[in-house]
Amino acid sequence: MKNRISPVSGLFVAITAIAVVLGGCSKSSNSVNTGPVLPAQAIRGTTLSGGNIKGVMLADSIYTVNGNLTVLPGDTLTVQPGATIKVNGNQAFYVQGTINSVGTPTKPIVFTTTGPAQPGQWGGFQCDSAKAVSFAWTKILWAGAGDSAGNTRQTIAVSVPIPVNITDCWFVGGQDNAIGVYSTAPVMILRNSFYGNGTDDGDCIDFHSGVTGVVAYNCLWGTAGSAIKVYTSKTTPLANAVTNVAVYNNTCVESGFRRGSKEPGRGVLVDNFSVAQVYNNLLVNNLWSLDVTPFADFQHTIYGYNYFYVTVDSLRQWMYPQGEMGVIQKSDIIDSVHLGANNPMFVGYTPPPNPSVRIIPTNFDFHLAANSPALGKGTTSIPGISLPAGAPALSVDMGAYVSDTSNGKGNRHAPGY
Amino acid sequence: MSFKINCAIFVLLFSTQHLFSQGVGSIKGNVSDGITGDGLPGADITVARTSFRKAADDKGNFELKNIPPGEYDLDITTVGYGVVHRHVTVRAGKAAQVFITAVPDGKSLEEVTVFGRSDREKEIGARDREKNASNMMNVISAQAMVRSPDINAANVLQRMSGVTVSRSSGGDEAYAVIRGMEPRYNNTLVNGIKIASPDNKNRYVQLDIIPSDILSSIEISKSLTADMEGDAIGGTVNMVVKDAPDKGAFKATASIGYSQLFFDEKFSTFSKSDIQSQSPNQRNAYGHAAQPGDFSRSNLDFRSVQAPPTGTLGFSYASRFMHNKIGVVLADNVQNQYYGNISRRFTVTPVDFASDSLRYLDGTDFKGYTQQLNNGTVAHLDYVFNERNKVNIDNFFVYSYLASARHSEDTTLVGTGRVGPGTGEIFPTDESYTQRQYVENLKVSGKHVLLPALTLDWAGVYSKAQRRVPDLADIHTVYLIKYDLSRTGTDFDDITHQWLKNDDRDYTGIVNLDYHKNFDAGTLQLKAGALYRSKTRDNNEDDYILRPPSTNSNGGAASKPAWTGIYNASWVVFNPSGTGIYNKNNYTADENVSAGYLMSRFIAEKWEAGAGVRLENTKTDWAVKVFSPTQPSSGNQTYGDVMPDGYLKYKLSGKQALHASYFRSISRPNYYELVPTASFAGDYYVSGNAYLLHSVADNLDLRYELFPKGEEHLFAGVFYKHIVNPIELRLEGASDGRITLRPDTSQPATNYGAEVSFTQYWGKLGFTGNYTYTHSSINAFVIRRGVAGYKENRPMQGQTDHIANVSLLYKDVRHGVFAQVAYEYQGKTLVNVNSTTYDGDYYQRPMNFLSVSAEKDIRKHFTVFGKFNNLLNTPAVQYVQNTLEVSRDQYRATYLVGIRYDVH
Repeated sequence: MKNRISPVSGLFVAITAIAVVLGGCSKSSNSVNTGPVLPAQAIRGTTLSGGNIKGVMLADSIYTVNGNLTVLPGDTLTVQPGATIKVNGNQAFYVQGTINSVGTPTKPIVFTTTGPAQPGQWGGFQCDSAKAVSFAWTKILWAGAGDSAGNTRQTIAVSVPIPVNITDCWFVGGQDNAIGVYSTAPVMILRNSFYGNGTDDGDCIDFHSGVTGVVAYNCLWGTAGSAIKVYTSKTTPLANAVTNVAVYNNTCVESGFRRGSKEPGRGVLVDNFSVAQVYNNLLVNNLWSLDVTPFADFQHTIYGYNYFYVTVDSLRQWMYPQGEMGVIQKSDIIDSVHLGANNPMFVGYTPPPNPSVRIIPTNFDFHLAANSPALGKGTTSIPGISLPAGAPALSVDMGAYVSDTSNGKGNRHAPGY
Repeated sequence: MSFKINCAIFVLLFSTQHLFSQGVGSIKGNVSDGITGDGLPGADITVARTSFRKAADDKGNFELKNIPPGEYDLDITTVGYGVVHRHVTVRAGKAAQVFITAVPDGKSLEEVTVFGRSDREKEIGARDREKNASNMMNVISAQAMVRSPDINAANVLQRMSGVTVSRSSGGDEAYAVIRGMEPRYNNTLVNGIKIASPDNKNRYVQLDIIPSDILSSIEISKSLTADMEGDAIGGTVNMVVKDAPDKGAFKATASIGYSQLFFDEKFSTFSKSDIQSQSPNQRNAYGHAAQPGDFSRSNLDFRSVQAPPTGTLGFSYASRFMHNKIGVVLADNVQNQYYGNISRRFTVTPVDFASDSLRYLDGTDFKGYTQQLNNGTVAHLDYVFNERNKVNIDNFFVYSYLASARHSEDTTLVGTGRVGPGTGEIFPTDESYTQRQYVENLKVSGKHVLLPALTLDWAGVYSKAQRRVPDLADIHTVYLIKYDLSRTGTDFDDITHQWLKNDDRDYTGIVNLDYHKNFDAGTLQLKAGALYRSKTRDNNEDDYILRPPSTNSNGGAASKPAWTGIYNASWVVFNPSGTGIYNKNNYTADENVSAGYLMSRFIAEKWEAGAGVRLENTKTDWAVKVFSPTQPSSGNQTYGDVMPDGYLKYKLSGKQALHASYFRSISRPNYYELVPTASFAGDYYVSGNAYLLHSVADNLDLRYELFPKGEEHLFAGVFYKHIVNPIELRLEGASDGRITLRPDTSQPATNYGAEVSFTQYWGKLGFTGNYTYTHSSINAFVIRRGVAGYKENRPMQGQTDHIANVSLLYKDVRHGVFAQVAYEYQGKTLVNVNSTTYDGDYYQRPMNFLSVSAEKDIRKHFTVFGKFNNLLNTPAVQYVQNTLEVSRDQYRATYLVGIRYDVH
């Protein structure tokens, strides 16, 4: 039997036609939901169970925090002088908006744990996407407990390019870095005291990427890693500007021992593409004292008028570590031949360093005695550099505690915390 | 037991001749394929005008006894071959020797009924599939796989035209890169249906865990038709497992081998007896705080031993019962392999701000020692109701166990006290890793001839995959090489323990209607069908960090303690509650795909054409538990695509054709890529992207096809692809200071190239090979200092410019000898894109591989064989900027010898 093609082949042609007419077309839609957004807590209640928070924590009140607190973008959390905030368990502040914790010399603000006074009790301030961060006359104690992935947390972590102003604060017993800035933020880190930060790693001040500004008049004792680390991200140096900060009049004592000699910490470290101006710092018994590495922008890094003192023989050769780019400057006060030369005459200090001691001994007082040879040895200007607005001038004295405390100069803290 | 149940049964009919007469002779001989030289089992030998008749055995041999002296004509008939006539003279008391070669019919062996089909296990059947397919295919048969130097699907694929296999650096997972399109653009099927993946990142099953001995063929489709799943832009890898043949068979194989690496050095291993299958929080009541004693030590006590030999063992059994109504196949293959790698890797960073040249940032020396046990099982049962109805049950099960000891020493070359080569801080890591993966695919399918011209087929598939990584443990330590090259002792940094699990489950339903109608001018085929798939995935991770205790309590702080071995170490659990609740890897995903298609095809004598259109709708939901209430916690993605295709085949002659095709296809983002939870990775964040779009591609192919005879073929073709929304990893957000590495859709990319493949025999010598050239092009963002929004033009990730495979084959059927020397060239490959650094992409140097396999029949049914791989000890070397070597992996040669038993 002979078939004729017509009826069925019509279907063939039709399907072909459909394919051709429809051609190709694609449509697509995506959606994203966020978790439940809790209403902001009114801060009259002094027991905070967690969720979002904004408004004012009242002066002289004692708050207990039982859950993670988030400051939403657009919100501001203000803490009034004299407030004490105790954080229970491994809770943290997530700051996406603005935080202002501004105490006074007589009424400092205290953030601490409800638990034992030991490192890594709560999560600190995770300001990964904050709008502004200001802390003054605030004590932040025993922070740095692990995050959801089990990693240690920095006491204050900032990863956005916002102004970071931290002045006259105390950082005690953090598990990891006390202050970590991982963005092109302008910083003013002035007159703070850092005692016993970093358990077996962690720095007091860790700049990671394109930070600019000033680190001055800070006293940093007993850090696990480096007291002040000036660094630019090694994988993204081209994305951001390089870190470029002025580091002057800081007192760095006994840094780097807890991280150990295999991964030595420094008093001041300038590394990886970064530029720094390092002057008038008092560097005492650090594992490595002042290190400008071959990977720093050492051609543009300038330093001098730094004061070095070690009481342990094995530390002498690491004041400027051998093989690195940092070398003794004529203006430095340093003697790498005679052990114990150039004692700055602290009001209270008992060498040698004992890394087993995490709590600063009560007799330690890094103010300079009246007969200190570190008095009057500093420089008052950094060659070719004008400091940003708001930065106090350099002192004629070495270190954080200086005799002329006018115009923002000099650390105002009494010993201890 | 007889394994000849289904052999065409021929009875020797004795004539009136005396049975044991002195005056008779015999005819002995062999029937073989005139092109391939393979014996033709079941060939029917009849002595014309007598009742003498015999079927050839499984090697094509036959013997006719008790033939009275005289002149005879033999007729030799074999299915699929032309009839051969031969004249012989039989003398009393003598055996007349005849060697007969048959030539395949010109007729195609197209599947015309439910049951008839060409033999997929043979290379001839593979050529037949390629020739009759309306899409562009490359097929390799079990016969070629058995003879090749390879034992798993990944290695087999590597020799196929246009395919390379990507192995994620340091990992063992292998996925196919087809025509320079990385694994995300290809799909992997078993018996034509997508199956669940045990991998926590990828959608598809790893090819290295599938023993090639359980497969009857691997088909790579480089063009799609509307009846195929539409999510393949590079191509589809279809692994066809053993199916019940028309006659019974039993095969068994065993082999033993060794790696050159373990002649050269010891194998590092650890005890598995104390490995906890569940994390402390999973095996205790809710709220349990993990204690130091909750973590085992013996799996971190590494010992060096002489590596045991590698071994494989397998069998397959196929038969039909109850008057051929029931078909059964059972096949199993176990491979227990020991292998290792010795590697050195570097990362790079710009030399300074002014120039674009790079230098090393940090370096890692790495040694990995792995035991991999793969077991593949195939079970098939079919029931033939009648000539028009058949139902199948197929189960495909793969179990893969991996135990790996990994030792690395990581050095930061920039910063932190390095003053010259060989100095600075060294961070050793010792890792013990065990992994169990299961893939199960249960398929119930049927085929029904509703009307003589109308066929219905359907399938319901349940597919489940699991991955369990119990207690992935790492010891981190540190020491320092000082400026004077003196070395300090080693300090204990921390120990991490992780429990990972992934569950993936698919339900798929498929129905197809197929209508044929014959006309004078040819045959018209109309096809319509639908598919629905529901998938769920659940991914879970629980991590713990153990730290030296003296450093975590008030007043007890000291330097990190010295490391003096796992049994002396003490620790505290830094995060006693683990990360089981909040972890960005704890995500779930559901995906529903519904698809339908219409297609038509017309087959005329001189030409063949088809067109079709496929609609696919996809909805993907994801959810993740997050720590912060403002972080995204769930979301979904829906998209629909209309994908037309068409092809035209013009037959220049019975043996050659020109084949052109167009199709549109898509590629779906991986599930985890949609989950936007960010984690900080030291210098930048790593996250998924909830707004990722799927990729859509238009593909054009043109191929010349020649099938001279038997296994021989010649293909020469060109292709062009235009891909919209290709997905690449990218660093973003540099302007706001927060930098995130995440997958994103890029500007359209193109990929074109050419492919040639061939097989040619001259007598006993054969020559087979292929060559592929690929050129892809994409404009991609790269961070370059001083140039905002800089884009570079480069190949797509995974592209290899030139790929060539050449094998020399020697085949002597009469003596049962087969030998193969296989050479593989893999040209310059873009293995990793470095979007953080201008001109910092990682390319792999061209590589040359040489492998040899050989086999010899030693007795009836028995064959000994040997497989010898990587004889040139080819390292995988990667570099940036043409000169700076960033990675070197060495694996050394492997040797395997075995024996095979085969009865039809």
